[in-house]
Amino acid sequence: MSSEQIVRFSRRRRAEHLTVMVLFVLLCLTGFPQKFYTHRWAEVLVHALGGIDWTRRIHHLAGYMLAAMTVVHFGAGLAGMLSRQIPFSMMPTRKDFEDVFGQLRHYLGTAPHAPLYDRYTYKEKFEYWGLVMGNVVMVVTGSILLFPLQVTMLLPGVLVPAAKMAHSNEGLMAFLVITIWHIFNVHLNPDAFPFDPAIFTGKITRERYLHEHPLELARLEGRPPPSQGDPLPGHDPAGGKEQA
Amino acid sequence: MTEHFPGGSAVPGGYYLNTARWSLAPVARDGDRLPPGPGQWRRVPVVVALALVPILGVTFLMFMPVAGFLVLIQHLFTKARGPFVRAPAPTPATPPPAEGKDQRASSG
Repeated sequence: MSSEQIVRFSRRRRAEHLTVMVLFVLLCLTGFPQKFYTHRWAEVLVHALGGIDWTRRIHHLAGYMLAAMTVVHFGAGLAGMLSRQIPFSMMPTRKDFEDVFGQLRHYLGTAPHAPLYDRYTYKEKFEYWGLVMGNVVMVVTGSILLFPLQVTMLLPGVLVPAAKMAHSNEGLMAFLVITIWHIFNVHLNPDAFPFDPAIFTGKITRERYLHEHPLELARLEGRPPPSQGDPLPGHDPAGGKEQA
Repeated sequence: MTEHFPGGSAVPGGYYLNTARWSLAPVARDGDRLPPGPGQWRRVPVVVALALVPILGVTFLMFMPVAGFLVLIQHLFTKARGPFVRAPAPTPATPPPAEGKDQRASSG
């Protein structure tokens, strides 16, 4: 098996992921004890964090940082789009919609080959857009909960309980999506088990790139894009991996 | 009328939409090339390009959870329908080559 490494994630993307990961853990640790405050584990956790005031302070600080990160991410994305220097690789295209059906049919055994993927698979795009839209919901509803008086001077008061419900349940949904969907896809799936360090090192092997993102690799190497069912160049079928 | 460009064409700088692929591509400088591949590209204003990105993102987000159920229902329907669908008539087999002809071929 080839051990040649290819850089997949820039230093900035890795830093963004690490920051979001740390903030997400902090927000869960300080948010869920407030949502499930009647439970014993919540009481223990709040006590360990220094009491409810400290729990709230940490939650608010992490929330401010996540809001700032979201604004910076949107600003950088907007600047990148306006400069026309970055490809819209995270934008879902018709192929992504078709890939969902293609991959699911392959899982069900009714399609002989899984789709071939470009830089990001439909799963990665779904996670990205879920995170982006989830962040928007969390930041907006969190701001309403932080500044209820100011908000209700301009908008109806019913927004406050609605924001509380949305903030709390969106947070729980994000936690479940990350622990079930994201952790399975990046670490527990048979191709990556037990741990995929790519987002921390920025690199993956050429063999894996060929397996998971053959269309992008072909473009990077100046080859014509492979078709479904083609033997992939440089891929060792005896390496134990299914040819995607 | 909007001008259409095939994939791989050298075009003026701007944003281009491929309606067949639902894909958007920025072209940084005049004379740079569009991505190769099928479908025609048409130039779109920057506002349209910026609006399309989140619209497609949210649409995809809404579509994904439904897709699994659609494929599963379709799969179960196909399975359930299987016994009631008449199998297509077998195509007549190609007659084997004549014995003598076959021997000539193998000896030549």
